Amino acid sequence: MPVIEVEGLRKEYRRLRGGRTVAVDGLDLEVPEGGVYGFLGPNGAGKTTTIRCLLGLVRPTAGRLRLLGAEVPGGLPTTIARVGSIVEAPALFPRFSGRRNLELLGRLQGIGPRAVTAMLERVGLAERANDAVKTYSLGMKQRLGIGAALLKDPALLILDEPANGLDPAGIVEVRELLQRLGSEGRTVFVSSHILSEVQHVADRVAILTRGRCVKAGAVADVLSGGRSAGVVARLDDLQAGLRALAEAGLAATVETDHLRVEVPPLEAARVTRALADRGLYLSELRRDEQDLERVFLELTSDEAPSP
Amino acid sequence: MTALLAAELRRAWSRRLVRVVAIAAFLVIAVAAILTAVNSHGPTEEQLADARLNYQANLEQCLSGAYLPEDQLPPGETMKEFCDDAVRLSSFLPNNEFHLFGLPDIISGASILLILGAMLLGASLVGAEWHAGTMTTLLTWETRRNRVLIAKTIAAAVVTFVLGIVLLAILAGLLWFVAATRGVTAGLPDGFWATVVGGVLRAGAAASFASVIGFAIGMIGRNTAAAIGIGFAYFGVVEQLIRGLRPAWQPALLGENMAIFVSGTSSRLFETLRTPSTAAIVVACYTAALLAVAGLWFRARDVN
Repeated sequence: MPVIEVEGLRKEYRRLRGGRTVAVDGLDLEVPEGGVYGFLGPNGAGKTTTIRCLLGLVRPTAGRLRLLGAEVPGGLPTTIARVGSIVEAPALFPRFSGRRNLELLGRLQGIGPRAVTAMLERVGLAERANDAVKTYSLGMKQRLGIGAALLKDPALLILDEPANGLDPAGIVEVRELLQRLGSEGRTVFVSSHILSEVQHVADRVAILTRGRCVKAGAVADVLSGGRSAGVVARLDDLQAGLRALAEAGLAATVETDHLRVEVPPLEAARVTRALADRGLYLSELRRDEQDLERVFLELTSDEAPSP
Repeated sequence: MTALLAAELRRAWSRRLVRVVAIAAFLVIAVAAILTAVNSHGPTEEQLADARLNYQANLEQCLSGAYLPEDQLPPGETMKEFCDDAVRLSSFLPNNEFHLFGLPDIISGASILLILGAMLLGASLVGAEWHAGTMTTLLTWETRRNRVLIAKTIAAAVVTFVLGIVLLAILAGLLWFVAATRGVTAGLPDGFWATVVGGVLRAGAAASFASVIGFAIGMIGRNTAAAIGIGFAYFGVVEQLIRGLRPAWQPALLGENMAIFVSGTSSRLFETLRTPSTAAIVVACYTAALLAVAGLWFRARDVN
């Protein structure tokens, strides 16, 4: 059963000076149970609005949403105890300690101080638990927010840009945490505009632009993007190399300063042999790896600036 | 709902502004009591005896109808109540001592500050949540907005009621001590302490109403400063204009009804006699109406 189902979601905001801004425009999305699901898109693509709609914070203009099988917003009171979330920056009382903030939230679901202490240890804040949140670094606040989201021991975690503002070490920390949570059998739905952050942890992704989903599926499928596997070959004389490969029956194309050869990476030896037979020697041969960033830029390249 | 209410009460008590207001109010009370004590010099035995004789003579005169014929008494008031109020022992003493007889009036006066403070606290309790974004966090734990509104309203009302009563009780206690040691406690009418307790309870209730009004405006505007601005503009401008331009509307004014409720004394507003209980109902209606608007607004608006 999908843990998140979105059908035809549309959200319009009225502008103060008249007119409307469409934040989400007919979004369809289905997130299966378990693992990490990346929800990607540039700033203003509608990621946060979608998350706010899922959590009942924002009323959709049109469309249907289901969370853990329950309609949103009608069924939220019964399912929210199994959903942990951070929407944009974690908002907690700055003058209360981290412990007090978690205790106040935990109390709402009957979660006691012992579980709060355990959670503070889990997110590495045990030593600063009694300090006011306003004295925390951005990374610590983010960790506390994740701790608050995890406090319910949720089946579904919805995290909106969890690595926002973190330093490289903090980003790695969050990435590892997401991986661990996904492998525990939970579903982690994580939105981000930092694609490298998601590429390493997500099993599936959806790419959103201008309020619409332009691509969704397993990361490998999205990365291949219909392109066959290949290798990158770098040598001095590209045209000679191209001819040599063609004579060996290998399809190749010249791409700026290298050749892209349509051959499975495991058969790369065919390329070296074909070139060496004709006295051409490689300076570099490597697997042609697509990264999410490239796919993303290709998919969103026609994007107009957000209104 | 109980867990939510308990969490909201804890949250409200833990707010720094609540503590700051409580400490500031306590300091003001303490300073006022010290100044009263310094400026109060108890009468001599001779002065007290003279005053008692004069007081007794005047009270008897008043009770016989010499001050006001029975048929001209304010509606609902007995001759004894009128005379207890009109003839006071303090009037026959040299004016250099603090007389405990004035305590109910002092409590009524202090209630005005209490009401303003309570309104500020009510607005701040919710305004700070919108400002810090914690309302969003809370709504991802309890999605039923009606429950959130009710719990927060009760928390605001309870915190200001308890705070108000404790502060006024401290005020009454300190002033009693000043009167007992450096002033006059003699000549108190029957039921004096019941009057004081009633005044304190009414002031506490008025503070609760004010905090809920502040809370409701803060919830509508999602901002503390806006709520305070609207509150003071209403009391300082709108009601003043109505009093001047439409005096017949006075019985409907929040300020007038609040004042009558806190004083515990019936009063004529334009041509309408308003009792404290009717005034309380009017204040409650204002509070409920504002809260209902806040609730509808809260349910309908997106939380961004």
